[in-house]
Amino acid sequence: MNIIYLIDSKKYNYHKSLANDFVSVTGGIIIDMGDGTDLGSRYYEIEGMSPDVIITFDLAGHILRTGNESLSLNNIYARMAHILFHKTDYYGCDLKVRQNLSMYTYIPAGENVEDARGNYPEVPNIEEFVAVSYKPADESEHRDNIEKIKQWWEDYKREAML
Amino acid sequence: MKLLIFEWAAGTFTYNDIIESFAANGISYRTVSYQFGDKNEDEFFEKRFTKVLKDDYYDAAFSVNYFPLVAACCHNCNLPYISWSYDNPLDVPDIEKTLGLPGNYVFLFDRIQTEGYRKKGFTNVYHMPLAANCKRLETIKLTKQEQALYAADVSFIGKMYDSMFGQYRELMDEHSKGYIDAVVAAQSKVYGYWFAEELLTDDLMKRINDHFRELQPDTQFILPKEALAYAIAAQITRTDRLILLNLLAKRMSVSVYSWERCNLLQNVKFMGSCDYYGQMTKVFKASSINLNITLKISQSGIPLRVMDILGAGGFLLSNYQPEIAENFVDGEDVVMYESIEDALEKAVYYLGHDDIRRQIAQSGHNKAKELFSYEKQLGKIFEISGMIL
Repeated sequence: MNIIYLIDSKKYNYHKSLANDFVSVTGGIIIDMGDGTDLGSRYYEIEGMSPDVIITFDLAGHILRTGNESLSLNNIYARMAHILFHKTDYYGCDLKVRQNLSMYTYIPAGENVEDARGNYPEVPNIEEFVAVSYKPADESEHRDNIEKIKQWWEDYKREAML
Repeated sequence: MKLLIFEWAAGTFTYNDIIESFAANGISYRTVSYQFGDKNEDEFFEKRFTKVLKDDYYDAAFSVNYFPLVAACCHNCNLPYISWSYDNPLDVPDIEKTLGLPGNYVFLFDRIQTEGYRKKGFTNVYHMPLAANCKRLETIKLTKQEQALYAADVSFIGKMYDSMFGQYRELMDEHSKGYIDAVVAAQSKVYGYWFAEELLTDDLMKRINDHFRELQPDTQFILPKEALAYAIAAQITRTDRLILLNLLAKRMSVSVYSWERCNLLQNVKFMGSCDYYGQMTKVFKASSINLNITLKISQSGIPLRVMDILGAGGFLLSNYQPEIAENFVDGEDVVMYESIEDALEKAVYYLGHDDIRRQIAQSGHNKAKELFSYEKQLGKIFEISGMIL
């Protein structure tokens, strides 16, 4: 399965290590949206890789927009998971743009999923994300993270019919 | 009335204008989008879309262009499905498998294409010309910088079409090549009547496909008539566009807006792509002449580009299209050409007559506003679909 992670290490210093943890479970490659690459070229690079799954952290791929300000990722045929590590109101307008039906957005544990579904009608699939610590304090928490990621990945594959 | 709108991928050109009209008419809606890998088979989409359909009450589903799986899901949920297309051809393989589903209301802008389906028994396919949102387009103003940026004697927005014709032709035997070349040559000279497809007889297609298999006995590839017809149309359109733009560029300033630069265009100012809702209208307003060169396979209809140009108040120089001629007066509302030479001559003439050109542009705009508003066209669509506004 061809899996791409989209992260922004310039904006979020925990993205790289967390993405490595996810990759250790799911496989795949990491693309850093914060590395200064021109966004147009970046989009064609992602599209050209024909991914089966795109997983983004903190909506790192939402910066890719069409001339109409729609999400460019809506043009790609792939299953997608957007994992948010902050409360939804942190992301401002990025959760107001329409996501396509192949996208699942995972919000942090503890935030009310029903409220989020009501607040963001353009986001078709909102689910709770297992409580992965994005900055594990020690090795034990790190191991716990890996187990939670494994569980999430199994659930996601089932839901996304992969 | 409440609609579920299906929107393809990151968006279709007419979507914003359509929902603006819905809002003005008190129609509520929810929009969901999706990108297909296979328009005819996608279990994941069917499951998700059906869930959306069942999660709320809708009077009908609506989409810009036609999607077979949307039709199938709506049919399973016993919900009417209305589609209004600006694409021609529709680019849906095996479309006839779902087109006739009860509950489908399919609106096409090309009357001859519509009649073709109706003759095959698809009586739920209707002719509906596209629309122009003149109110929105009138509000778009240009700054001095934009005027300078987009100003040109002639502007053309569109692609040069990379046709598969050359590849298909290479694989044909000499007799088929000669026949196809003659078809292309004859069709190239005729505007307003697409006969090429009629000349692709079953015997010819068999001969072509038999020869493919002689060259490659293991091949699974079968060239369908529709694919060859499209390749011919794309080839002729490409040639028309290249010749006309190059000839015009020898005499006047020509700007081309397209995703891809074409190295066969000489002396043409390549401007890159332009977005539909912002830059495009400004191009039409700032250009003295806006060129429309319709894809040959579109036989009679008024393409969206023409509506956009007229809606923006731009001067239109278009190839002859029967439905343009039926609704607009040539030389008063629009100007049409019937050959490359005719186009060149008319471009030179109207470029030298600013007052006449402006008068024609204004008249064309007024007529588009009167005849082809979104409110009017959507009103007819809902009436035909049994959902009076």
